[in-house]
Amino acid sequence: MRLNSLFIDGFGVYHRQGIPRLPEGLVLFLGGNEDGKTTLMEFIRGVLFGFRRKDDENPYQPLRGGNHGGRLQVVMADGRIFTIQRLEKTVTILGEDGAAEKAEPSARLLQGLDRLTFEHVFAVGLEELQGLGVLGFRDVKDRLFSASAGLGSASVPRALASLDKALDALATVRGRTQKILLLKKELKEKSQQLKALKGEARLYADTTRRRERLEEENRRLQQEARALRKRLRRLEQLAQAREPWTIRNRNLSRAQELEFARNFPPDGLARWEELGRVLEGLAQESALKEGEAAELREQLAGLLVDERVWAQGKSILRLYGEKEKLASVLEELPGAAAGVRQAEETFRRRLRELGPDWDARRLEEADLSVAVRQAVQEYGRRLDAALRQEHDAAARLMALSEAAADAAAEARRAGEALAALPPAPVSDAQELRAREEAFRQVRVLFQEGQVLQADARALDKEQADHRQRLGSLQKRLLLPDRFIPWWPGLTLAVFGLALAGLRLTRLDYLEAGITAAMSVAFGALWLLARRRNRQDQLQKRAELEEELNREEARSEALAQERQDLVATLAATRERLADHARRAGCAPPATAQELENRAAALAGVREEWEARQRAQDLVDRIVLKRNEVSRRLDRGEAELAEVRREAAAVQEEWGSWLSARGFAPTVRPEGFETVLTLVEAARSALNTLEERRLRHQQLTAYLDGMRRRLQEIAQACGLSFPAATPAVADLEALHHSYTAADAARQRREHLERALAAVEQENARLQKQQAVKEQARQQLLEQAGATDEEDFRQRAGAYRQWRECLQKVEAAETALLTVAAQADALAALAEDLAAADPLALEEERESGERRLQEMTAAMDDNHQEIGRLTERLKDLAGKEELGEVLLEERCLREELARAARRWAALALCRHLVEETRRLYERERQPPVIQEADAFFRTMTGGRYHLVAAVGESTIRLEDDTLGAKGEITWSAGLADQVYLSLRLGLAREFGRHAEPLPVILDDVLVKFDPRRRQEAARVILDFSRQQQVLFFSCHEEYRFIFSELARQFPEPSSLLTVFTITDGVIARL
Amino acid sequence: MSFTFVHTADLHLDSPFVGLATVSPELARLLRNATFQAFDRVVDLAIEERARFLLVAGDVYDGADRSLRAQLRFRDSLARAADHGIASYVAHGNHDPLSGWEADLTMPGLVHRFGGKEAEAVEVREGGETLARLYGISHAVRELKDNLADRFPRVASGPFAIGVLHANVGGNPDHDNYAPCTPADLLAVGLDYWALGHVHTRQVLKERAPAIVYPGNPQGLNWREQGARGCYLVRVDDGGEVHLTFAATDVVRWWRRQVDIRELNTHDTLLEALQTLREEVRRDSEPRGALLQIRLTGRGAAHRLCRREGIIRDLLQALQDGEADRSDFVWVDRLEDATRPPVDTAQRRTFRDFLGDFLKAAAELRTGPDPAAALRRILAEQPAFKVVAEEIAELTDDKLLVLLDDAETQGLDLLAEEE
Repeated sequence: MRLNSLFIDGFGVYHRQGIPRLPEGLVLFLGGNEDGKTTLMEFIRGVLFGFRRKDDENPYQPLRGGNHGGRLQVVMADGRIFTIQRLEKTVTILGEDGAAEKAEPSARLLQGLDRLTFEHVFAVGLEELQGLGVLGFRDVKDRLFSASAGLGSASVPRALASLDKALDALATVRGRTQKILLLKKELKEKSQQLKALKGEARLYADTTRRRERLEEENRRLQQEARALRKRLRRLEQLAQAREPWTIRNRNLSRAQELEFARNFPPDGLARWEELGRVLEGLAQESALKEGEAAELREQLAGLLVDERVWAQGKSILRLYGEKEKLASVLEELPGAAAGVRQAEETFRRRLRELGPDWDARRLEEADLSVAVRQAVQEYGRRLDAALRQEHDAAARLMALSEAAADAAAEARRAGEALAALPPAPVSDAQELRAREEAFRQVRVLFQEGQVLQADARALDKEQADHRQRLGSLQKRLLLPDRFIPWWPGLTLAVFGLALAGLRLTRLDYLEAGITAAMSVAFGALWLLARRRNRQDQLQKRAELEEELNREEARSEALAQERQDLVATLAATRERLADHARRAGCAPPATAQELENRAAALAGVREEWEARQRAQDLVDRIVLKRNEVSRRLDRGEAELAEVRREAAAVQEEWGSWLSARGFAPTVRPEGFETVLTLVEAARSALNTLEERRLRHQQLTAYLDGMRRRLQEIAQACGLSFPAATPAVADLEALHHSYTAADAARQRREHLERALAAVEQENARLQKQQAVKEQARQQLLEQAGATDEEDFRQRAGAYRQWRECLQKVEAAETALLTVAAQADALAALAEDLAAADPLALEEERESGERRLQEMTAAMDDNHQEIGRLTERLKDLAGKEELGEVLLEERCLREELARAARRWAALALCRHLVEETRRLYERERQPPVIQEADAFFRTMTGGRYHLVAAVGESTIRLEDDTLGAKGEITWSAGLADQVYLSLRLGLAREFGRHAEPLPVILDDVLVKFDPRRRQEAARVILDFSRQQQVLFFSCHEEYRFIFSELARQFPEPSSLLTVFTITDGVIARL
Repeated sequence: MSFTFVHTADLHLDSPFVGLATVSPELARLLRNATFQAFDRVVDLAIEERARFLLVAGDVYDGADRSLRAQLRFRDSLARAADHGIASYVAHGNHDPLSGWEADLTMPGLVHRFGGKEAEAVEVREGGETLARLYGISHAVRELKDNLADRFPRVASGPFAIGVLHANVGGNPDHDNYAPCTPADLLAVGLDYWALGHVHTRQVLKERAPAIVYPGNPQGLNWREQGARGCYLVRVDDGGEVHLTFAATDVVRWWRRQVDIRELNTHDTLLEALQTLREEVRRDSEPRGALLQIRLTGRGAAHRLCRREGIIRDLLQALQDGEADRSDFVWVDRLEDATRPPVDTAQRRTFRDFLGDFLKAAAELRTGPDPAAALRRILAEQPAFKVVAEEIAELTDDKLLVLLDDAETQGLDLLAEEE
C-alpha cells in the first residue's frame, strides 16, 4: 500500500491542508521543530489506526478550526484505490466506485494489522537509534534481535527473565521463602491447630455433669439452712421484743391520769397565735391603700385629649400607610414621561431600519412563524448541499485526471522496464516447472547416490571385518586337539595296586584293601574326566566348523550385496545424468556443485518471475488506465449533473422570496437578519405601549391622594394647600393623631388603677372582721374563760399526747418484731413464759451450725461458678470457626498462587518455543534481506549472520571472523539496526500488505560517510516501497537529490515537501 | 384444620465460607456468625407466623468441621422455638449422621430426632385432633448409598402426611449421590408433602399431590451459592392443599459479576464503573450485606492499565474502604483481571513475526488433539513442578485452558510493549 494523497481538515496546527498527489518512492518532509512534522506523522497513523487519546484528552485537537480529522487516499498493492476518511470517531472507507463503508482500515484493508505492529515494522524513529548509543552490549544484542523480530522495545531475554523472576517468587525446588511454600507451611500449621480444637464437645459434657452434682448438694444444704434460720429468727424476735413490752405498760397508766385535757383543740395554741399576727398585718395594709387612691385622683384632674383628631384616626393611619408609595410615585413620574418619549423615538427608528414603506399595520401582518424559518433553513441546506456536491465532484474529477495522467506515465515506465529486462531463460512456466522438478529429482538421486556410496563403503568395511573373522576361525580350526592324557590315571592305579599287594604281604588286610580301592577309584575317576574333556573339545570344534560355514555363507551374501549395490549405484548415476540433462545442467559431482546448480536454477526462476511480475504489472497498469479513463468520463458527467441541480435550487429560492415581497438577491443566511429586524420593531412598539400605560397610572394616583388629604384636614379643623400632595403633609397629619391617641390612653390607664385600689381596701377591712370572730370561737372550744386559762389547758393536753405516742411506738416495735398482728398474741405469751438465758444458749449453737453450712455452700457456689465460666468459655469459643475461616482463605490463596504459577510456566514455555521456531524459520529471510542493505551500507566489509540459540544477530567480516558487539562503534550498531528494520519491513511486506515506511530523522547520528551510504540504501528501498522521511535538516534535500541522480528516473524517485507552521508546500 | 409449618435443611452451622481470599477482622466475625443468624431467622419466621412445627431435613453441621459452638447454638435456637410452643423435627443427613452425633448435649423438650433404621412415624396433635403425621429417617452413617425412600411405610389414607428425608432425588450431579432415589420412589409412598434436604439450591420438584420440595440452605456458603437463600413457609389449608411461600433468611449474599472494559479508558472511569456495580449489588442485596467477586473482561486500552503494578490492588482497596463498617456492606473479595489487550489475536496470529508465531503456538496448543494433557505434560517438565503438583492435579481441564488464555495474555503484555 502507498499513500496517494492526503487532506487534513483539522488536526493540531493543521487546518485544511492537503497533498493532492503523493508520489511513489521517497517522500521527504522538511520542517523545523514545532512546525508540524510529528503531528503529520501522527495524523497518518491516526487515520489508519484511530486517533490516540491520553486519559480521555485529545492531544491533537484542531487549534485553527475544522473538523477533527481528515482523509488519506491509498493505493493497495493490487492496484485498488481507497479513500479513508476519519472525522472525530467516525471512519469511512470509500471505494473507487464511490461505495462508502464504515469500517476500520486495519480490519478491512490491512488484514488486522494494528498500530503497535505498524510501529514495530514500518516506522523507525531517531530515539530508537539514540537508545543504542547508551545501551550495554547485551542490551544491544537484545535490541537487534527484537528489531529483526518486530518486537520494538520488547525483549525476549528480558521477557524470559521477568517470567523466571515471577516463577521463582512463587516456587523453587529448594526454596523456603517462596510464596507457595510459605502458604503450604502456614496451611499445615492451621491443620494441626484444627485437630487440637475438635475435642471440646466431650469436655463440655463432663463439665456439665459435674456442675449438676454440685447444684444438687447445694439445694439440700439450703433446705436445712432455711429451717435453722427460722428457729434463730424466733429467738432473735423474743430478745428484740422485751424492751418495747416494758415501755408500753408504763405509759398506759400515766395517760389515764391526764384524761381531763382530752377535748382541747389539737392545734388550739398555734391557731390563737397565728390569728393575732394576721389581724395586725391587715390594719397596716389598709392604711397604705388609702394614700394610693388620693394620689391617682389628683393625676386624673390634670389630663387633656383632642377628640376630633382622634376620631379621624383610622383614615389618617390608612393614608400614612401609603407614604412610601407616594414617595415612589413622585420620584417615578418624571422618568416615566421621559421613557414614553424615548420609546416613541426607538419605535420610529426601527421602522426606518425596515424601510420607508413599513408602518405598524404592516409590522403586525408580517409572518415570523416557525414554518417560514424552517422553509428558509431548508433552502439554505439545499443550496449548501448543492454547492458542496459541486465542489466534491470537481475535486474528484481533478483527482481522477491526475490519476489518469499517473496511470499513463506508469504504463509507459512499466513497458520500458519490461523491455529493459534480459531475454527469458525459459520459454514458459511449464518449462521452468519441468526443470525445477527435474532438479528436485537430481537432488533426490544425488542424495540417494551419496547414501549408496556410503552404504558401499560400509559394506567394504564389513567385508574386510568379515574376512578377518573368517581367517581367525580357520586358524582356530587348524589347531590340534589337546585332550587330558590317559596314562597318569593308569600309572597311579597300578602303583596303588602294587602298594596294596605289598601291604597284603605284610598281612595288613585293611590298609591293603583301602589302598587298592582308592587306586581303582582314582583310575576310574581320571578316565571319566578324560572322557568328559574329550567330548567338550569335540563339541567346540563342531561349533567352530558350523560358525565357519555360516560366515562363509555370509561372505557370499556380502559379495552378492556389494555387487547389487554397485549395480544400483550405476543405475542411479544414469538416472541422475538423465534428470540433470532435463534440468539443463551437468550432473553434480559434489554437494557444493549440487548447491551451485540449485542457486543457478533459483536465479533462472528469479529472472523468470521478475519478467512475469513486470509483465503482470504492465497488464494491471493498462487495465487500471482504462478503468481510470472510464471513471473520468463518469466524473465529468456527474459534475455537469450536480451543477444543473444547484442552478434549479437557486431558481426555486428566488421564486419563494418574490412571492413574499423580498428581493430575490437575498441569501437564506441574510433572510434571518430581516426577520430579526421585524422582531426588534415589534418589541419597540410593545415597549412604547407599556410606558404610556404606566404614566397614566401615576398621574391618576396623585390626583386621588390630594382629594383624600383635603377631606381629612377639613374634618379635623386643619388647613391644607390645594397643590400637589407631599410626603411632609402626611407626616404632619400623622403627628397630630399620635399626640391625641397617647393622651387618651393615659387617661384610661389612671381610671382603671383608681378603681382597683378602692376595691382592695374594701376587701382588707372585711377580712379583719372575720379574724376577730375566729378568736372567740377558739376560747369557746377549749372551755377557757380568758387567754391565760386557755394557755394552761394547752400544756396538759400536750403531756397526754406524748404518753399515747410512746404506747403506740412500743406497740409498733412489737408488731415489727412479730411481723404480723396474728403472731403478736403468741409473742406476748412467749415473752411471759420464756427464760432469757436458755434462749441465748440455743441461739449461739444454732448460729455455729449455720455458719458451717454457709461455708460449704459458698465453696460449692464458687466451684459451680468456675464450672459455669468454663462452660461459658467453651460455648463462646469461636476459635474453631476462626481457624477454619483462615484455613479456607489460605487454601484459596494457595490455589490462586498455583494457577498463577501455571500460567507463568505456560507463558514461558510458549515464549521459549516461539524463540526456537522464530530463529529456525522466520529470522533467516529477514537477515537475508537486511544483509543486502547492510552490505551496501558497509561497502561489503561486513555481513549479518543470525546466531541461532543466542537470540541475537552477529557480524562477520570478509574472512568470516566474527566481530563481537562489544567492539562495535555506535555508528555500526545504528547501521545494523536500520538494516534490520528495513529487512523486516521488506520481508513482512512479502506476506502481508506492505505499508509506507516512516523514517523520523534516522540519519542524524550517522557520520557523513555512513549517512551517504544509508541514504543510498533508503533511496534504493523506496523504489519498491514508499518511504516517508521526516527531518528538520535541510541538507538531506541535497544529499537525496544528488544520490537520486544515480538511479534511473530520478525525478519520480524523490519528492520534497516543506512544512512551515502547519502549512505543507511542495518544492 | 389448617396449619402452618416451616421447612428448612442444610444449615451447615459454623461452616466456614469457602473461596474468600481476604476479609477484614470485623467482617470475618460477621461471616462466622452468618450461618447461626440465618437459622435464627428461620426460627423467628416460625414464631412470627405462629407455625405449628419446624422441620429440619438434615445437614445441621458440616461433619468434620462441627464445633461445640454450633451444637450449642442449634440447641439454644430449638429451645427458643420450644418456648413458643413450636415443636422441631430433625432428620440427619450425610454431613451429620447419627454415628457422629454428640449425644451428651441434652436437647430441649418439643424436639424430636428421627432414627436411622426405619422411617419413624410421629403425630402432631392439637385439641385432641391429629393435625398431621410425620415420617422421617436419618442417615445412620456418612456415605449412605441405600434408597431410604424404600424404608417409608406405604400410606393410603389418614391425616396430612409429611416425609422428612435427606436424599439426592433424581441424581443431581452437583451433589454427592447419597441416599439416592427417584421421584417415582417418593410418589409410591403416598405422602402429601416431602420435606427434602441435600440440594443447596431451592427446587420444587412437584407442587402438589404430593409436594416435593428442596428448600435450599438458609445461608449461601460459597461462590456457587449465589442469590437469595432461605426456607419455605408451608401452609396446609382445610382441604389439605399446600401453599408454599419462600422466605429469604440469608445474612450475607454472594454475587459474581463482570465488568467489560471496552469503553473504559482511564483509571477514574474504571473505578466509577466498579463503584456503580458495587452500588447495584448493594441495592439488590438490601438490607443485608454482600460478598462480591468482580471479573474484569473484554479487550481495550484499560487492559494495560490493569496490568500495571499495584493497580488492581489499589482498585480493590478503594472498593473495600469503609465497607467493613456498614451494615449493608458490599465486600469485594476479589477483582480478577481477565482483560485482554486490544489485539485481534485471530488476525494477529496470521502475521509472520515473533508475536504472530507466539499466538500461533498458543492456538496450536489449544486446538491440538488433547490440549489438557499437553498442558499437564508441559507443566510437569518444569523443575519446580513437584512443589505445586498437588494443586495442579486438582485443576480441571477447562481451568487449564483458561490458564493457557492467561499465559497468552501475559506473553502479549511482555512482547507487545509500547515504546
